[in-house]
Amino acid sequence: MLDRSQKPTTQAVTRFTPPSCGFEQRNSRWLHLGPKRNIGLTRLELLFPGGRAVQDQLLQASASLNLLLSGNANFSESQLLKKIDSWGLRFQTEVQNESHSLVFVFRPEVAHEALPFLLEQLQLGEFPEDRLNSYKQIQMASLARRQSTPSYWANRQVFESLYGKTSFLGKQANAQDFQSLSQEPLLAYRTQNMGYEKARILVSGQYDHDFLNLVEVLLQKNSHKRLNDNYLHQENTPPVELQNPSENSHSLPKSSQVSLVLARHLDNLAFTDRIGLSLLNTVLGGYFGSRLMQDLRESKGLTYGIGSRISPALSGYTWSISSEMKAESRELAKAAIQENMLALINKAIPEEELNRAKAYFAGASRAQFDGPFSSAARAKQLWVRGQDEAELGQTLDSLWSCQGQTLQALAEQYLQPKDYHLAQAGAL
Amino acid sequence: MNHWTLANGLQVYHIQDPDSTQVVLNLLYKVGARDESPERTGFAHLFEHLMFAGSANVPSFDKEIEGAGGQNNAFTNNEFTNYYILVPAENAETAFWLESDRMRGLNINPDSLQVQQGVVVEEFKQRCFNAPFGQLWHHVRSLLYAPESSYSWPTIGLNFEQIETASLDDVRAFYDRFYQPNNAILSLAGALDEHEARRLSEKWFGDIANTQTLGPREYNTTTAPLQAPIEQQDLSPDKAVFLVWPTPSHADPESNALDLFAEILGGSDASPLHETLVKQEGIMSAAECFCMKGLGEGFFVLYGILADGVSHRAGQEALLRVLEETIKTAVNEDLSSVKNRLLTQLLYERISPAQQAQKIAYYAALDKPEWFDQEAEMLESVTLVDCKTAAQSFINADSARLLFYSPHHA
Repeated sequence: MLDRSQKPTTQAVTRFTPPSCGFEQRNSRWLHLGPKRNIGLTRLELLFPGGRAVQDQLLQASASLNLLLSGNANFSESQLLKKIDSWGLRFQTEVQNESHSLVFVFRPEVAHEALPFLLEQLQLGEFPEDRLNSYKQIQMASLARRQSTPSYWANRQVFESLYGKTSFLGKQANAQDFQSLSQEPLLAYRTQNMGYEKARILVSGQYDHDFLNLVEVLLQKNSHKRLNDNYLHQENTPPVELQNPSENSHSLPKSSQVSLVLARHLDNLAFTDRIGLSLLNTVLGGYFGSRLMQDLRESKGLTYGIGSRISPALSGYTWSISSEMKAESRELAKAAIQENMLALINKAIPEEELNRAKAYFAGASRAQFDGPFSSAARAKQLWVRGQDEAELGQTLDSLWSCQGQTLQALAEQYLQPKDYHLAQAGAL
Repeated sequence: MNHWTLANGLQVYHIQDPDSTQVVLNLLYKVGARDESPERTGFAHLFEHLMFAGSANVPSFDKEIEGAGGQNNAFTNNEFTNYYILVPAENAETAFWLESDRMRGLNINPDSLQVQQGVVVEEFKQRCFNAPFGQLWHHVRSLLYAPESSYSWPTIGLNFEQIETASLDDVRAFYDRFYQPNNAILSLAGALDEHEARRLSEKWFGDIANTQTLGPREYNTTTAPLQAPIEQQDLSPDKAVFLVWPTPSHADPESNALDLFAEILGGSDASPLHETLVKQEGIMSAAECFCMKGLGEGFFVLYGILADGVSHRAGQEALLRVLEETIKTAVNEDLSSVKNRLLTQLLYERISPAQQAQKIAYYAALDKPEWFDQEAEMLESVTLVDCKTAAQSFINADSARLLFYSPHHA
């Protein structure tokens, strides 16, 4: 028998060369070209500045994008969708706070037929009343279903509490916000924010020089203006308004569990602090081996899942911890979460644990670049967040140089339980 | 794709992706909820949790894999349990070490059983009681299969009391019976070359002996008799109607024809279900269908979430009307559109080594590993007549099992 008490030698991922995640100028357009891969699929993304930050009313951006192919003077929605289906093309839209995107995934052989048609039709959407009404019904029903769950209410309440119910980051959609959508603002959003002259182009998968020329010609043909550099940077970002920490509850008597969410805002983070906090988050609740997961799930069996995450919030980030458990375990879980936060403040992370988190973080960082579409995703993220591509190459150096004391200082600054808003929903 | 079998019966499949910096080790055990007894439902899934509790030489599975820069997870369904590890290529051997150690050296102890019972009970509540239609699979399976069939309960189990009362003896017996090389399929994908894949699989798995002979297993797939609609109250604020039918195993050619028919009927927003019932008539906020394909079974689900004021019976009749109309007119459809959609999907499903490894293991468990390389040809070979014939044979109004959901407050 092989002696399995001897574990194989492992090598830490200390270096890797990420693929280019920047944009280059080509014929006055900003272009990201991912590594070419013969996978039988091309991915084209048109990335625009805009998103929720520029909308005049809640849901305007997402409704406008979702209904871009709802019909126009030449084609009904059904005709348009059937055309797309006939090519086997996957079309989707994405809306973020500071940007929105049109994403096309297709087999290269259909590009010359599908793209001329689609890129023209996407500029003509008229948002017919009957389609808009149908969309409202579908979305309101979907919202109502989400509102039957504890996690929806705990997340909603913590954001309302943290950023204020009427602020950009805190305001949440209700059924009446869908009801109040009308044709005019959707048209206005399309007209003002979706001109191809504003688009950054991200191409990945299987493509060639001819394809890039085709895209260039089509965007030019369907644009009314020339590229304007002013479009390349986000303007008028809404302010972040922070409220005093508070505790909120929402009762759902039919629920069998309680959903808990704690959150705070992080702002003005330098690159090294971003890496440090990401590593601290990994240790706290960012992976299976994290303290929260090991303590609340693997040692105490209180919950199926618990995790912490740092997610973008305009110029800053929201740091949140969330979990679900039976009502009787709620106080135990709250206490355990707080103990774990305080433990990171009171004592530096032991070397062995810190190295494991670093190894995981480094491995996951490299794994993010595996796959034909990954550099496009990162290029988009860097641009939207206004971050420097050079930072990617410095990530692992910065990570491996993080010391326990540095993370302890970050924990002291950012992990104080008193600074966190708490929301709980469910069987209270 | 390369394939070899170790002397102990472990089947190994390998596919190399020179563009990847990662290695995926996927290990599928041919055991799932269908191997449980009616008194211990949910056990295969509970056992999957215990596989992370440490083994003879590895006190913490997660810590070792994460320390090597990797990540891992698992899932269980009615027919198999699938474990996978994604690790940087330079640490591939760590994945072999870990997965081979727990194949026969699992540390079974009362503490880990007790903790994981608590975890799984919370998972049960989260999935089944805290989400709209959370008990759908309980209801669907009880409609499809007779109670004596082990396909009649969902993977999560009939109730969490059975999970809470599972004993250490149950755990040991289950482990000894099902967790052995000749009941497993190892698939390797990513940066590993064939030579290294052969060397490492032989080195780490070649010396593991089987604990017992696991002969062919017969599963009772007796379907449930047709019955009056099951009526259930649910968290969902809207009424819903589900119609379900048993269909053949994925290995049966009719299964692929049914899959294509599902795509014709409800595969996109331009398909008849959505177009007619959501957009034109506005009587539903969602109308969809799908064909579940498994190793030994399959089923077809057609459902609608009803708009205010629409009765269950009206929803049922509307769904059947569109179904029957689509079967009738199916021969006039342009199948190339549906095939193109599915072809794009097939290509998309292959872009990551993890997806490749899982797909290979699934086809090997189906005893059709060659299908991994034949998916596009198989898709192309299905005709409209095949779709129509299969739909007429398996999905009709008379044989529909019905499930009506109403909101709790109704």
